[in-house]
Amino acid sequence: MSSALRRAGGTDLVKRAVTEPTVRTVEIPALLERAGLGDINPYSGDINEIAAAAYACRAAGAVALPFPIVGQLAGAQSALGLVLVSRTQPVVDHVDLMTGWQAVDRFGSRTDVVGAVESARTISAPFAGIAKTTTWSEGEISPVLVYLVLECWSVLGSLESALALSVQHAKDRVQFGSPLSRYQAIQFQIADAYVELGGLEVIVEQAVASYASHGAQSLTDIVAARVAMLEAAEKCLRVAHQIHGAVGFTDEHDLAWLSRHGHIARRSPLGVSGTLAWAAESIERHGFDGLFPVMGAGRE
Amino acid sequence: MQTEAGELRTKLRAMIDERLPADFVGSFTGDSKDLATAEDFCRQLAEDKLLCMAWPEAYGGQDAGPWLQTIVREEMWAHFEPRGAQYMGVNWVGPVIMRHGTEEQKSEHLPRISAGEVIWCQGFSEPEAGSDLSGLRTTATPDGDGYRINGQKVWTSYASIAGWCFLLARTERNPADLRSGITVFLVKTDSPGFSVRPLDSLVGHMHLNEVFFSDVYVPASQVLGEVGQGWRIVMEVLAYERLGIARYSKCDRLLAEVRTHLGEEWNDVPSGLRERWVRALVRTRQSRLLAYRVVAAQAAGHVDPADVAAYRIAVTVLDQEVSEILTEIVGPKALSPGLTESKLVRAVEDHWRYALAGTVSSGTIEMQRRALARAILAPA
Repeated sequence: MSSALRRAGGTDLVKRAVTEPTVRTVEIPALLERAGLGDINPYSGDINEIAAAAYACRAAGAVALPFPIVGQLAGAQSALGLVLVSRTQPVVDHVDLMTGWQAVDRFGSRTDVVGAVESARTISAPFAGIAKTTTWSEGEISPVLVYLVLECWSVLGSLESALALSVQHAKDRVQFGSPLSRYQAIQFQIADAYVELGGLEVIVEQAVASYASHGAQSLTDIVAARVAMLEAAEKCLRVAHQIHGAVGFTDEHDLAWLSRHGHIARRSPLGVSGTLAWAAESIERHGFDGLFPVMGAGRE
Repeated sequence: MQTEAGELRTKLRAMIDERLPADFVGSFTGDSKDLATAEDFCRQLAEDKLLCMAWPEAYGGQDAGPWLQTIVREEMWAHFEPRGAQYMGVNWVGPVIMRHGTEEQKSEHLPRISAGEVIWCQGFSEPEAGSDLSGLRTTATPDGDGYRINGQKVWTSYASIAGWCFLLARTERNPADLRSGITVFLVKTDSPGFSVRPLDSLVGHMHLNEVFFSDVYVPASQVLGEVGQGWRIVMEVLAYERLGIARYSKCDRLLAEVRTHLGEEWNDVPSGLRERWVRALVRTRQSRLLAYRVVAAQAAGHVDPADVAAYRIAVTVLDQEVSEILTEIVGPKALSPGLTESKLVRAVEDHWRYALAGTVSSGTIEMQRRALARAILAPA
């Protein structure tokens, strides 16, 4: 999938998608179909299936792919696709592509997406819209878990690209007579970003394994992975922009698109504080595994 | 593997339950009975061939791989390191002697380490050589069949109770290449001219010491490896020490225990602080998984130094964050554990103090960041 995306232009896809609607409506769906995305069922119970879905999302994130690949994979059991929303603020990336999709809230309740209420595009979220939904009914938690974990992998991919660009920029850019990479202040920022990314990678791997083994019981592990994702995204993107300087803000530069890629994912359905509170709730109820597990109310 | 690891963990916890006093929070409390507990515990571990289980059977081990060694490291640290100071002999002094020692040195030192009978200290840092170890000035001058050592070491953990010192001294000085001319000596601490001045400190009793060498005679038979090749051996020491202490395991235990300890009072903990606790649980898990990534690489025989440095940075920062959160949750009584009989409160106070040194000891966090950045930024 990585190489298919590279052959198709990598981040050129997102840059072109802003002015060429067919990139998102025709080109990318065809590309994903050829890459075999439709054959992956993250709900099969086979760890290889959800791992394949995770790797596809990571590859998509790495080029800031302008397409709701997480929702397409998470919707493998339902009609066409499935998107996780905040019921009070259902801002969604690529909602215009979601005709016939379903929406879930973080508790698993479901509804149909019947269109976009209005365009909500901004500079920081150029493919956003507000989902128009119908009545909600109770549903399963599994789709929420699959959606959340795949979204973490997508953001991981974009952060890895942002760090790789920063490393290259630090080697290439000469200021005050030396490459930026010679300055310890820059070296230390890169080292800390690398540590964050390593920590994110291992915990999203664990989250995938936990879902494959425990299904609906993996909620706490997956919300914990989301906490790590949100914190890593904030820290790594801050470092990447700082190292790049002004050029990193420009739409000609890939970093500007990697930065936008996970923006809605980082705010919806809950940002850092909300996700921490969610994790706290979940730990109270279900506990938290470790060498010395925290016991939850339901496990004592 | 999972079963074997689980069985080992269960066995170690049973042994800890049985042999450690309920109020044990470490062997460096200033109370001599805690030190005696550590000595007893080491002897028992040795008897069960668990003290040096990763060593070859010939030297008192079980040839256990890095995963089982990790279980031991985790369980010991989570239970306030009942091996006391002996973990150093187990983790790196022994393995380095195995690799570079003469047959005589191996038979003199290895059985005693694996029997849990000897404490080693590490004579590396000096007043003018901390992170920049190559600046060390302690000299070793040939004298008859041996050497005379003169100089000073500092921050030498456990020197006041150690039987032996793994010493770096300069046998030659080449200002253009300070890494050359360093030699490793194995020195008995009861040698005439060897003296120790303990330094009371925040990190607890017996940890920090100054060590003075005044014409200390060391026979040539106690040179480890070749004369002048000490730097290479030290780099190996650091490799053996790579994973260091399993700091995340004690964080894991104390974060879980503080929740149980508070019971209903947990609801009175401000929500912001409870969220910091959650974040700490997540970061503890991340550190553990980063450690496992290094262990997996060790088991496969190819460790990436960048991953090691990343783990070390993550776990030392974690230790300090957790120490602040625990202290805040426990409240002011953490600063006066005499107010309570609670072992947890005493453990939190100990943890806060010890964590202070996490980003300094065994190579500062700046050295780790520098090593990591160099690995990442190296030309392709």
